[in-house]
Amino acid sequence: MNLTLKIAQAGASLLLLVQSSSALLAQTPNVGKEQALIVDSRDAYERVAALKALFVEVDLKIRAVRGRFESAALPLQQSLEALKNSGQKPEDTRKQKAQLLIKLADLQKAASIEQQKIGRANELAVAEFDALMLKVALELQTERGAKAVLQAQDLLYYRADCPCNVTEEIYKRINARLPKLVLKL
Amino acid sequence: MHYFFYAIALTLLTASAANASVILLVDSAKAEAQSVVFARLKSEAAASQQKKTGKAAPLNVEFQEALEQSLSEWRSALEDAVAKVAIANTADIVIEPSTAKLKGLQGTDRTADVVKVLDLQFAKLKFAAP
Repeated sequence: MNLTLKIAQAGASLLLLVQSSSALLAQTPNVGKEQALIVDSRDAYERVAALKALFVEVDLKIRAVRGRFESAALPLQQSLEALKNSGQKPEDTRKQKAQLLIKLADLQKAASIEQQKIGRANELAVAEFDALMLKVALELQTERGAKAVLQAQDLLYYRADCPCNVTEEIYKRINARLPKLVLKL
Repeated sequence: MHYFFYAIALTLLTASAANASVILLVDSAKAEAQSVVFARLKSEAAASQQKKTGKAAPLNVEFQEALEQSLSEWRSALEDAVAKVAIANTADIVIEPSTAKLKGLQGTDRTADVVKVLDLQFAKLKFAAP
């Protein structure tokens, strides 16, 4: 009987303590779950292999367009220069000059359209990365029971070694799930 | 027996606290409004203009620029002051209250501490008249 009473007393004490601890945890904002997680994605272009490769590809394609334009434009520019130095009257060469200038403008326009296409494809690929980044961040938020995920650039300060900094984990998961970003031209 | 359960509860509490992120709030606009140095520099600028032009307010472009130049010293040190206060309070994150509100986060407002650090640092800062 005495033992039963002691067990009951102990049980009641434990219940009281757990209740008071929970109440204390709930009242103290900084105690309990991690309130917020931090992501510092400023070096994502260096840390995410697919993103890094994408930018190399975009750069190469842009250079190639520029290279093709310059090769095609060079003979036209040389012809224009030759006409200028031919000693002929301007009115005699006007038609030829106009034709050359139209061709040059067409080349310029075609190159510009190609560059815009690359730009749009790049934006789509980056959007794919952004969507995955958001998805992974939300996953981590749920896993850790955090209220929010904050971008480092929105903070006045953050402790670099804070367990709330999930940047490394995010990069790790993105690199595992997104081996390549395809430039859909 | 009671002590045993107290110990368990305390351990639980400590363990939870160790995993928690400590958030401080610093309102940079409020910090400027609270700063004694800020107010003093503004008064000095007005007095300096009064002396030169006979009119204390409003500040003309020249004096406004000179004032901004002096204030920028204080403003540019804000980041370091925030870090100093954060470290002193073993904080993990410092954010503007507006960001905290937007994200549904809670924290302790330490704007006054940051102002103290900055005002102490720039106690001798004088308005440089144009």
